[in-house]
Amino acid sequence: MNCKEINILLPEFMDGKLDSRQQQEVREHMEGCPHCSRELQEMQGFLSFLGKVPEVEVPADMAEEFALMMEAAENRSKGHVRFLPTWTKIAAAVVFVAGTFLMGYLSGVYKGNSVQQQMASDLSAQKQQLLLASLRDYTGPQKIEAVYTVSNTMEVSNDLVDALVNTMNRDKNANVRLAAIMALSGMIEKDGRVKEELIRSLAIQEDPLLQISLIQVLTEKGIREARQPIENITNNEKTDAHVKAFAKDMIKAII
Amino acid sequence: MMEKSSDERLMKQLAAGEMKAASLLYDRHHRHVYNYFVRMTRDSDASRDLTQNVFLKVIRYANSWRDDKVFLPWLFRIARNIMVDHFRGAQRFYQLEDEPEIILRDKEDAVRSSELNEAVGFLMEAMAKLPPGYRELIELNRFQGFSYKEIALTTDSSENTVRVRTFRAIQKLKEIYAQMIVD
Repeated sequence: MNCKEINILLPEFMDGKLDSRQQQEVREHMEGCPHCSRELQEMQGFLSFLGKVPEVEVPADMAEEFALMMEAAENRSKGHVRFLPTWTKIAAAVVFVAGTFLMGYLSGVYKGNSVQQQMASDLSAQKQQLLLASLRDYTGPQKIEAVYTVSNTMEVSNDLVDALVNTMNRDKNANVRLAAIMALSGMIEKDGRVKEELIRSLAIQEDPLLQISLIQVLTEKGIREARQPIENITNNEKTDAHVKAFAKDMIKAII
Repeated sequence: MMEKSSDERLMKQLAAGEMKAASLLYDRHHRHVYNYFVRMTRDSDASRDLTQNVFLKVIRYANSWRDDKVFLPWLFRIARNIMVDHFRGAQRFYQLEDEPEIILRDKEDAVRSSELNEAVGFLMEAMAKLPPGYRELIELNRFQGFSYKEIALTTDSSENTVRVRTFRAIQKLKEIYAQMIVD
């Protein structure tokens, strides 16, 4: 190997990463070449200096911020899953029994279309009441599933929006409240009241994760009326620093 | 004592939906990724966001993880793609001149001295004057401890090209640094 080829190997030579044959070849070359020997010394000094460069300190709250982001991402991804919890099977059984009765009733006694529609409508209302009741009666993970199932199964109605808004603002469990926010966010275009309720909720939520989720939903949907309430959050000295930073970014970028 | 899972094993777990694996990978590597961004961009605020973004992408891309991959080069491929995307719009990456607002932490207490801090300041300035491609090779090889083979995997290059270019990058950095000391 010539000097140029030897020099290219110097960093690996110093790091001890050459194979024994190459290591030996470099060593022998150094013995007979003052130029390369000087180059080796200089390189050694410089690489040793690079090795002393201190690490840059990571901001203290970065890991916490990432944990929060992960939680939000996880919850969002769960929002795409359609759950079929035990209670829906019970509800299905009720509907099935009622439906069987209805079919027999219709075939045996009445055959008019209007009656059939009336009965179907009653049954649908009964089913909806059962679904809405689940939002009151279930707790924890079952309730999260209930929120998603209700929002995926039912037509958007005043009763449904009321039930979800109530859950979003009052449920004791932050994850359940988050599920309600995500469910409501899918209904913004279908019912004008949903937008108002989400904006109103900005002043109610105190959990940073929920504040971030609301801000994200409202800014991503480009809802201008949310600007002032979001600014109020950023100006509130009690607001978490991550939420403030997130709100500032989102307002700039989206609204 | 429980055996420490390899990064690759953790990725497999993450691909199977175990989010805890993402936290472990983050704990192990976010400092390195953050340092990479700070030294490449000299912007600590942007580096923070870029780092978080890298690990969110790790979670997002976990489904595409294959057993024949090696984690660190894969992680830094994501990091460099994110960095290129971040700077592409404003073409700011090639024009960065601001002083970095960064806090340095010593590897060993004994090495802390004002002389060293001054020398490191000069070195960081010299790094900023290197072409970004050279800066990245110094970063990956000298600061992140990547082998030439790992750098080749990260940068889609050949091991020999990396060997030659890294040597040139070190030489260039040495020259710029020496010139700064003289001036």
